Amino acid sequence: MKFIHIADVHWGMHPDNDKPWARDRAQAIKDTFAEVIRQVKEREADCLLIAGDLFHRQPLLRDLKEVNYLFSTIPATRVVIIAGNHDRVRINSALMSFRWCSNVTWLMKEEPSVVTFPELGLDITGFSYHTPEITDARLTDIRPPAGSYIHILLAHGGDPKHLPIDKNLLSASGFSYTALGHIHKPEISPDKRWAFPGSPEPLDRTETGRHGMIVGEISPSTRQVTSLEFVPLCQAQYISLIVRVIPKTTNTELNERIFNEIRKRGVHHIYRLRLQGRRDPDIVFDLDSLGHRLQIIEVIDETEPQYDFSRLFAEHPCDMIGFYIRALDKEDMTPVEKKALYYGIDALLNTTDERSAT
Amino acid sequence: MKLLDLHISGFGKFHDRDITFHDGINIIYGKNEAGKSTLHTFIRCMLFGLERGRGRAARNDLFSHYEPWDLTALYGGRMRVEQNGIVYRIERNFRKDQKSFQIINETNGSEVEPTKAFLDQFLCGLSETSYLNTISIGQLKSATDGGMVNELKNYIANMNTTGSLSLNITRATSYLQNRRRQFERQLHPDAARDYAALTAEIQGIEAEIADPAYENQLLAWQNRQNNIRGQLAQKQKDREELLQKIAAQRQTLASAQFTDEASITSYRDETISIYKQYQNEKAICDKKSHSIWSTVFFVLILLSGALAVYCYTAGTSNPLESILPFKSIWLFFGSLIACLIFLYAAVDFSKEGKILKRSVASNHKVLQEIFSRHLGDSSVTEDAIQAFENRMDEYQRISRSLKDAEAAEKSQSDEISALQEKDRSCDLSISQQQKTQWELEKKLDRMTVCKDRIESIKQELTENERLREEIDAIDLALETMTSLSSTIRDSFGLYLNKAASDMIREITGGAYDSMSVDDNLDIYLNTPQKLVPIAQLSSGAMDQVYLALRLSAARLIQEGYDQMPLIFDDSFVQYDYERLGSALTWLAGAYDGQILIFTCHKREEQVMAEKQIPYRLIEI
Repeated sequence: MKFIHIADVHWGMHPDNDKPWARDRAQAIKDTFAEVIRQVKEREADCLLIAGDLFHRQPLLRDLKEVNYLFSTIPATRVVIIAGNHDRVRINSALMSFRWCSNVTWLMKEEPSVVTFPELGLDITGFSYHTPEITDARLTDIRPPAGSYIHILLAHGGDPKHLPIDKNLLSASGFSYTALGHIHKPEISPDKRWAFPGSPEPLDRTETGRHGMIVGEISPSTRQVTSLEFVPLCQAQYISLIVRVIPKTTNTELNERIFNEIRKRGVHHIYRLRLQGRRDPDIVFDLDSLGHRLQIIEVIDETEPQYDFSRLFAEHPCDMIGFYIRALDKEDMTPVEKKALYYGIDALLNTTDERSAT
Repeated sequence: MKLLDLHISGFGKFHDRDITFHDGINIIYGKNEAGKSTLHTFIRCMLFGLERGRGRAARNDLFSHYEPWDLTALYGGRMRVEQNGIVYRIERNFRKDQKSFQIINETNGSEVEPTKAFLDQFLCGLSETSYLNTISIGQLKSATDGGMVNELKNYIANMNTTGSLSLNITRATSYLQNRRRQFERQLHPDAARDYAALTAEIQGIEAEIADPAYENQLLAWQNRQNNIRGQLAQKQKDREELLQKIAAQRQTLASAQFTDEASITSYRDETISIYKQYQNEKAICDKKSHSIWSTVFFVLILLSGALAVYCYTAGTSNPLESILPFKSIWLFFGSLIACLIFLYAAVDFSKEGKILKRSVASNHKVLQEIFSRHLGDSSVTEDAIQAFENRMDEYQRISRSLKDAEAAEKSQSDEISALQEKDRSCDLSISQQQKTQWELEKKLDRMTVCKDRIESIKQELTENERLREEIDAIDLALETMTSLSSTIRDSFGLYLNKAASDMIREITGGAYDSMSVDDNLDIYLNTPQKLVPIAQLSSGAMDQVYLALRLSAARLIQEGYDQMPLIFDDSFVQYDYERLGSALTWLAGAYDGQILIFTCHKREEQVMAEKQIPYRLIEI
């Protein structure tokens, strides 16, 4: 029994809404979901498991129609869906009156319910969110139905407010496989008894690394997962780069270095840059021109101006600079104090009276 | 510290030049361009070194200014100084590639490691900056220089607040405030407000759509409608069948010309009564008595007629007269009358019989018609009437059944319209639901827009937070500077004011007895009568204040150390002869260390001689 397991598609989300590539990201989510459907067809999967948060918000009728169209293109595959915390079932939801095509089963109930596919020798247990949070560890009490079918559990959660999960117990739950969702980073258990596929596309700047789906197979005779594999699908990744600078680093050099590095890794990815190290106090790094050419979501400048405070202090033992350094330069300074020190020294040195040098 | 002598190997225009200094006041006289400033700078460079400037400092590069034109020549020299009874020799080579710096203790003949601690002590606690701003006194500003007031004000302000005169606290503060404004401009001022507004809007929408009125019952209504429509279809089918049946029955009855059951009953009763009448009359007609009666009447007519004729003919000779108690005429009349009566009776009887027969015949015909119509056989028989009755029973049954069917049809039709009413109400509810869902989706759409916007505002808020941190840092810097400057003002500044005041009094020979600086850093000189704002002073007086301030600062900075020599570089050109006299007199008394006065005038020498102040003249 071949299956494909995805979760946290967040159809309808607009990541990086204030960035020039916002439209591309919103479209990538839909495109990658369509790619999953294509893969289902190509790999002739018997079953597509969607472990919650297919939609980013309460789905509108038009969203349901779009997704249902895609499902209608894989009539031979049983699609089983549960609702997660984002697309939880509400009494006013269009979901309540939507007629899915015949291969789609949405386990709408708040309590665990079972859908059985005798032709596959498969039953799938799952339940949907009706509330924004589920704080009980409900999975510990769920057991597969009796019978010799392959048992799969669909569940959405994994943090203290959303269905706390004891991963150790999952292997002993009696299910052949637990298809999880909610955590956006992919994770496969060593014994192949459960997995988080992560979101098919990364959804915000913190979701670095590869994203995609889980492809697996369960042997009908042993009812054991025989293969379980993460397949990357995402169109772009969020990549964090730490760029080290030294006092000799200039703007042009830094821009070139970053540009080359990003070109090497792929310009279609989205980058977060973190500048670290000591810079020439006279130089303020300006990466705006890179931002026009590349997808840079954030530049965190943690560089500190290269001041030799002990030398400065020696030169100015009893004037404002000296007093100033003595007042602020301490062990374990807070970031604000550190910055205040730099700002003050910068101001004092930059406004040094003309007379001083004559 | 006292300067003993110096040897310039190469510096500016000097090569292999030796100059010896003495205790007390040294007047170094030279014409313009003789190299006084070069000598002055050489001393400074021997003390503090000479670095080739880099970056921003290059514009003030002393190094290239005094570098000998002949690049192979030496650039440097040595200077001997005495400090605390020990003679040191400072040797420096400024050449970039062969730079060297040595301090040799000549008293015990050893080289001294120029550590920071040693240099601090050696240079009497002065940095190069503070050296320049205190003991090394350049040409005092000329009277025509309108900037002197500001210069002096600034000088005092900075001295008051920073200690070191080179640091311009006011400019540093405004520099920081400028940077702060730059950050403030980058803030998204409305972010927090927009965030609150959007959050409120989202909450509002959420509360609104949580209303049970938005519950999606479309499926339930659709199911209900489907159910109703199923029932309706069944009912309509049933009704259709019923209507056909009714039509057939109506047709049957109509073809028999019946309208209702009553018409059947009356028809049947009528027919039966006709039949009965027919039977009776026919029975009467068929009886023998009729012909007997006719015969009887005929006989009686004949007999009575014959009797009458006999009587008439016989007349009086009627034998019968004898037996009759009355005359035979009467008999004649009697028999004639009887005959006539009989005749009448016979005629009447026969007429009656004819009528009866006619009635029988007509009834028979009627019955024949009825039977032929209903039974298809016109024979009027007992069987026929029986069959007729059966047929009429059947019609009645049909009629009753029709009535029932019509009632059923009516109730069905009522049910159908009730169902249709329900169907319509389902339609209405469904369209209402669809409308509600449409409204809901509009609201959800709006919520999506709000939530997306809120995501970007969150970024703005994070950005604001980052900027706030920068602004906080600048605020902290400003705060620290302010509190430091007030600390400095409180300690250093107060003392400086006091020291400077003493000096002012001495320098000006008591014309001004003190100096005060107010919170706005405006400087006033106090005469016993009034406060004089510094702007109202003569330029010479301003110079004096300036000098007083420098000397008091120098004294203050060097406190606890040996005193450095005071160096005046053409400082007194603006002083008139009298003021020069009082200044020099005061200087000689106030400063017990070595004093070097570089000048291009002979006035200083003359004043000294006049005032009998001991001095040594060095000419270059």
